[in-house]
Amino acid sequence: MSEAPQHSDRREEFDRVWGNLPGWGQLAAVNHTTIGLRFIVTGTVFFLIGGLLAMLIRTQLALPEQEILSVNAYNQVFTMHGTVMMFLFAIPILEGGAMYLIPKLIGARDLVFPRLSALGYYCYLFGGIIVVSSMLLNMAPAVGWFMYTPLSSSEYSPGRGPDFWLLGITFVEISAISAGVELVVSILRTRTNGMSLRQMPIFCWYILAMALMIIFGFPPLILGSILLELERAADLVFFKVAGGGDPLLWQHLFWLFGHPEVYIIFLPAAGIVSTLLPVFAQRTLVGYRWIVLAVIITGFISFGLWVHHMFTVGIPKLGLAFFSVASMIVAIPTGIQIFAWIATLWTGKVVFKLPMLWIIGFLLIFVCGGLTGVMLALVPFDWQVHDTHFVVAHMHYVLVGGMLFPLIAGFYYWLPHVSGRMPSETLGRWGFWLVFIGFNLTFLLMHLTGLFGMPRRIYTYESGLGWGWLNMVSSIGGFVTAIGVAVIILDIALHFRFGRKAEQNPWNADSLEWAVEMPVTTYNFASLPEITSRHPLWENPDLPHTIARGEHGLPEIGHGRRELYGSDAVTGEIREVIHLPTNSWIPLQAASMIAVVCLGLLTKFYWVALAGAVLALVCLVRWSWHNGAHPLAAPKTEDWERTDPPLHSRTFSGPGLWGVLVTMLANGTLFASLIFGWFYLWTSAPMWNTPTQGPLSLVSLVGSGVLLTLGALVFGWAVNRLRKGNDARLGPILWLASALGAGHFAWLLYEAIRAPLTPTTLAHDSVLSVMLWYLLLHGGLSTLASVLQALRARFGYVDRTLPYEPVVVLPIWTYTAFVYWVSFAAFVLLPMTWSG
Amino acid sequence: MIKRILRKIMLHPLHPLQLVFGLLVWSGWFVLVYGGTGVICAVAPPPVEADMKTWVNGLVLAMGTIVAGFLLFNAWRCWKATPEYEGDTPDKRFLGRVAGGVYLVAAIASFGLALPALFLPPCV
Repeated sequence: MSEAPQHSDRREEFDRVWGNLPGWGQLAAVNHTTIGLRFIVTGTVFFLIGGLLAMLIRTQLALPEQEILSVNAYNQVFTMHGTVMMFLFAIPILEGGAMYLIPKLIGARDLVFPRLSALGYYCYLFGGIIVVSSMLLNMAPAVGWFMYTPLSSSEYSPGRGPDFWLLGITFVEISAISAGVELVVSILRTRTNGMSLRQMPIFCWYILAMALMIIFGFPPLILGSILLELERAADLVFFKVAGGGDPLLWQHLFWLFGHPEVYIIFLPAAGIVSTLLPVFAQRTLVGYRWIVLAVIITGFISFGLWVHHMFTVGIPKLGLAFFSVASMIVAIPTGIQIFAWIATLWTGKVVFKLPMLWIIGFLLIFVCGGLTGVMLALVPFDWQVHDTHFVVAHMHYVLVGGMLFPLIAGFYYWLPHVSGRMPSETLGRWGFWLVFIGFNLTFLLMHLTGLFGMPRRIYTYESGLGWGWLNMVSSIGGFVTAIGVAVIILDIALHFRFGRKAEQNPWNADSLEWAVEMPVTTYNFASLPEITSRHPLWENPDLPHTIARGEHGLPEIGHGRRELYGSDAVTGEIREVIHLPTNSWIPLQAASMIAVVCLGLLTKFYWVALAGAVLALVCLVRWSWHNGAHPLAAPKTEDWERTDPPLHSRTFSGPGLWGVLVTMLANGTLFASLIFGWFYLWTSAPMWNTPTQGPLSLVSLVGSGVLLTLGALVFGWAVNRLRKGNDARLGPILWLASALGAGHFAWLLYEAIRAPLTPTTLAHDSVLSVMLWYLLLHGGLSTLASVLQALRARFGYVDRTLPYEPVVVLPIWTYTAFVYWVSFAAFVLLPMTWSG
Repeated sequence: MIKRILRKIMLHPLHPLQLVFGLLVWSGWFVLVYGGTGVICAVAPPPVEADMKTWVNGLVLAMGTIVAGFLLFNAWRCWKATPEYEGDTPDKRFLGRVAGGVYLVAAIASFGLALPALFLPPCV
């Protein structure tokens, strides 16, 4: 191997390998710093749009009997306010923050799937533009951010509003899932040498939980959105009572996502609090283990709360009580964290810098929001205040207190990282107090407005009901908050030019992100340090310099590859060197084509949508082609071939395997949601009807399934042979698996076309149709992946020294075969036992 | 003998997956109790006049007790297997203590889930 470059040349060489392309080439950037910042800036823009909508709402409600906004305009405004704030601001900006910070906190140079980061960003951007453009076209959805059926069905909302929402938000959710996958794998597999789970920065635990919650939380909504769009656009039946559907199924699918989402937003924000508090208390976090425990508990229990949004829909009392109990239990982990934070403050020497002010604001507001949450968890109380402004006040206390305040604290805290300058304490304090006072003026009194009986989502109200002065004060508070936000933006904008230059580690923090250069470089660390403590910078303040001098791991860059460590998920010991793809246009191209699909569906030009889908597939195939030993990735070379540790594409367990497994978890959740929908309709839909004669042929399904299973076995056989170092006849074996997959696909397609399904009449057949399309999609995907592997074996990109890719594809085959037989049992065999 | 069987069918108490198993069991129990009562109420609802004195309530309480007992047993396993002092095995101590806590909370949550069956009829 060549000698490492001298320190003076190091930065230039690292910049050459890791830097973005100039000019328009910036659009091909994939590195996490750039993408994370783009998420944050875009999220801020959407926040301002959502804030403007909030001001419109407060203007309209300031006085009784106002007609500034019409009913329809008001409905659009409150729907878009919720949609923009939840889907286009809160989640993406936190994802972006996590994408920016995580590699820096764990001592890595980038996230593990950089092209996925870029694809996620463009999906978010394009999806967001599509959703927001509906307002400009006066076609915005007007049925609430939760899109309840039947109001959102084509019968009651015949315009395009719900379609904008369903397609645009699903597009944005691609971004969330991709962020979830890559954050999970990055945290578990790319920590620097020696950083065991016990030594991970606490923020990483929060983000790990958040990312896993995205993996399990978003698929139910994705499925629900697909089903509702199919019902609206193609007249299938899922939520219409007449054909055997049930509108409550939508509520279940929505809140299966919607409640965990509250914690998806809260956890990263709490992670910011747990990171900042010890820094400003200048002591270690009290109860690290307790907080990890609390984070894990929150991640799970928050999935058992969704029905507390549905306490008034007529579910049996015992069922409600299950969710009521879970809603109370979830307060336990939150309480653990709050006590740990108080103990940290109590035992530390608190420095009241600007970020700390926002943390104190968070503690006050969030505790209030949490307490009203416990009140709402009590079913009888919830019945009294359901759909009143009390709930609006509670929700904003939780979300603004629990998310926005810590987020702004984090902004101020990590600002020097990006700009190399410090924010202004004076302007910053003005911003804080204006927002804090304005927020409490708006929402503290809104609890009363709700208790006095003012319903949500009404565009005006009569005078003399006692709500007038409360609404006026709330509106004044809203505008004070807006002025505060403007001051903060002004402060941040001005600091880029006038802010005092920040010294290295300006807050005297303990974690690795402050060991990078400021302003930050695209590669973070010129060498990757070994970690022996949870507080590396407090133990070794010289670390930034030794890292920059290249005195730690992977200092060489002459190979021209973007490299970082792949480590053991538990111990953090190095297992391989991961090579990452460089700048690429493919994510932008793929996202653009998906946008074409979205627009084609929206405008009902289905051929355009189909063309977009085909082109998107071509982009993704190209994406997967530029991997492994491909000349654009990490071709075998004499000089720079690593052996100890090896490059990940030369091993059997690289990050791609973890990535595909995590993706299958998300996919499996979507499938489980479909099965849930099937059983739900069967047990609860008032007019559910099972045909006496099943529409699908048992013989065809068994035959097609046998071919699929054989294909999976043959592919597994090829992988087993590779594991034993045998790559003889690898190509023909992979072609055989592909042929079996193609046979399965063709047979199943024939059965789907032949079967006398009436999906526009019966919910039973609609669900069966979706199941068949799902299986066809997976059969096709497995086959295509095998064909690609067979071709890559022929090109010399897969053999016994490059066994990695077939190992990554195998879980797709296994999953496809598994869901096929589960579907066969649940959708075909089981209904034979139903009485109809 | 019991130890040998346990070793075969269960993960080592300090295995990293123990960090989530307790709450996975809770999740399964949650789905079972909510989904199960839904199916029972659709297929074979007990008489309304029986109020909460039905076989469904009895089953929920019995199963809740069993699940909670199983989780408590696992909490005890993790606690017992955890090294006493950090010493050379701080990672194991971390895993054992956190996993034990997860099992304990999962046990409380699982039993808590069954408790409403003492007071409420299943299908009304």
